[in-house]
Amino acid sequence: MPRTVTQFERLVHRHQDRVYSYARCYLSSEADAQDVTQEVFLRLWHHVDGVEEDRVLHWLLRVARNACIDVLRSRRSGRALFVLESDGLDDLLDLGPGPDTDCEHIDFQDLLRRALERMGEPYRSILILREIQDLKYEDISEALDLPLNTVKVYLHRARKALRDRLGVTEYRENA
Amino acid sequence: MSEHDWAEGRLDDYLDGVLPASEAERFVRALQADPVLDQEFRTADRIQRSLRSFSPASCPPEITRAILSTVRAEARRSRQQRLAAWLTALWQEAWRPALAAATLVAIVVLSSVWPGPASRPIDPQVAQATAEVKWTLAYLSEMGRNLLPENPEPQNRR
Repeated sequence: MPRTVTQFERLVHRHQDRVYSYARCYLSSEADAQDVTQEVFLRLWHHVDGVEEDRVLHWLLRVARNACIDVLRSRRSGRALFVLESDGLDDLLDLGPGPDTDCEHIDFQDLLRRALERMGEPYRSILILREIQDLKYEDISEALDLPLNTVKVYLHRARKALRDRLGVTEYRENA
Repeated sequence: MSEHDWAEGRLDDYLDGVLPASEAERFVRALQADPVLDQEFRTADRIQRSLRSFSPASCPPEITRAILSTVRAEARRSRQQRLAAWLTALWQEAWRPALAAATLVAIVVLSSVWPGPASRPIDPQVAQATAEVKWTLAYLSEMGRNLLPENPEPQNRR
């Protein structure tokens, strides 16, 4: 692990984009993503002895995820983030204008972004890391501290939930 | 299990490109035969492509600079604190007796090397006076010795 500032600097340059991008997607806020990125790397500097060299990225993503969750908690207290009991996908049923309203003007990508924002943990993290950051299942499993099969199951459920919700929109667009 | 259920269960694998070739062919046939499944596949494909088009953002350079300047400042502070702690330990702990011994040795060495007070040149008048005093004393001593009888006789002898 980095013992010197120069070694640490190399790690920052290697991983900063991934951490920032994750936080940016997760929080949909540039300012919050910047704060989270700084916080994550400063924590790495303070815990250099406790992190193995080949697991730095996993460590960074895990800390970034926790920092993002803290930001969301402070943004909306009282709203459950870890909603695994209700499967964390219920919110997707209410993305604003539904199929019965005039939604042709709604951009598919906007809707997708909103769906992602409303997704609970760990679905949101898994989708970001897999679909946007193109991380391997093994890396996602390490980063989120979840068994590999659990990651696959969660990803399948998250994709299905998105399909079910956005498929209606797409159907209306095509109609 | 219906063909629809079979294909739906493999939709993710097909999207990820990990479905074996034989199953992939069967999956494609199922799509062609099942409009509902085909629609679901198109939606899944569109979602995946859209998510991948959320181009990963680059970390702004000012954030990198802020991180590194904070870390550099902390490293500098940490070095100073370590140095101060080392010096304190040097004075207070194990080095104290060694330091005392070294000081003692230094004093001994310096005192042996250091030149002593230079001998003052004697004033010639003082030297002459000293010599005269010595000669005078020697003369008086000789005179005294000559005045004494060499073999003094006992007083009752006539």
